[in-house]
Amino acid sequence: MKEEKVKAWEKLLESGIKLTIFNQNEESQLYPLRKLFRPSAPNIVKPALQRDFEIGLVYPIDKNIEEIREKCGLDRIPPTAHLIKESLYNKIKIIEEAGIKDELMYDKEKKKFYY
Amino acid sequence: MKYGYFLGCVMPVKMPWAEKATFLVAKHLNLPFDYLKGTLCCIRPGVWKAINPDWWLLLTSQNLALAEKQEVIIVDSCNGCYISHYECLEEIKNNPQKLLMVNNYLEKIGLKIELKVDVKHFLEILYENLDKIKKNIVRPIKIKAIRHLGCHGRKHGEKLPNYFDEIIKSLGIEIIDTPYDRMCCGLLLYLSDPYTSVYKRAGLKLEYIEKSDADCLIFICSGCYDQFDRVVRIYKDEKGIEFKKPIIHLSELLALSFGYKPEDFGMMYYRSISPINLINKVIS
Repeated sequence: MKEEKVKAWEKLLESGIKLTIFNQNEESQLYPLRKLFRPSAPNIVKPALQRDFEIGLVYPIDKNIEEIREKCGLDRIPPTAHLIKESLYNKIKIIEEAGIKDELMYDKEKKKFYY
Repeated sequence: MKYGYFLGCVMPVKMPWAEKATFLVAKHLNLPFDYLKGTLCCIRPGVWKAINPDWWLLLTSQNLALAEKQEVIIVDSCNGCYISHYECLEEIKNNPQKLLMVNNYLEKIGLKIELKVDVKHFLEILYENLDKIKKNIVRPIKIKAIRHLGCHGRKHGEKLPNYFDEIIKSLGIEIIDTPYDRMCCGLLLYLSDPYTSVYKRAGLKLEYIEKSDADCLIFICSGCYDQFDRVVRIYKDEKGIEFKKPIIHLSELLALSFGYKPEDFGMMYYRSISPINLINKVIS
């Protein structure tokens, strides 16, 4: 099989790029002497990192999944940080105290990465 | 000491049938088993360790501290979660400076690690109860299967691979060996090399299963399932290829062997490959 693009991956990468406020490629055209740098968070992992920052877990729960969980005989919302928000707030506190959001250049108001 | 089952990110959202089956099996075996409550992402070592090992240590420690507070042993069935918790605990046990660093942050949220916590893989719990499992089988599972333990399950020796095989065989299942038994599912590789990850890892194994005599693929790791499920969908959406052999969690087969019906744990819902042919074969 000829090596080819995986469209699902391209979409994921695109989502990561959309989560980025400043595009270095565009900036380098405006400021050609500005040195490019490698951001701490690669574009491909930004969607997962963002969810980690916002819900504390990689995957969110929606109404559809809640209904399926119920059909499987489970509580609609699992007793993870999805339900127990104190855990999420504590994680966010640790992330901020340890400077992780700053280092990854994540703006918690805009919910985007600067670079 | 009680067991606190760590759900992780994938199981509650993508494989609720496995979550329910796991709890049915634990209850059936009369294990002191409940959820570890308030858990977060494990946190994915493949991503976070690569970005900053101390951040991984710090964020993983919150789950360990929760287990210590709830006075339970953490039980993971996802190999990625297991490795994250197990290796984090080993590191803070062996490095007082790291334990101090972790506790400095945990104290800010009212938690602390005093190294009273322990981490176990679900396979270890099952293997410790293998005699009880055998006594509880009312419906032997007479199928042929290919199994996928996942490479993180092999990272600390041959214990978990042997347990996995022993438990599968105890249900009456015939294991078919393949050249790809030790191959990684490609989950982490997906971030950097999607083509190889999809078509030369999980995809290669799924293609092999389709051509084999196997009735299904048996797995235990939620991270691997996430990858297999993704690859099944990519083959379907981007290649028009539909796989027919289902991907089944070990707990589902245990539950069926104990006499539970597929509808007791929602076996038919929310799957990329229907298990109907397998169900018909097992139930008949």
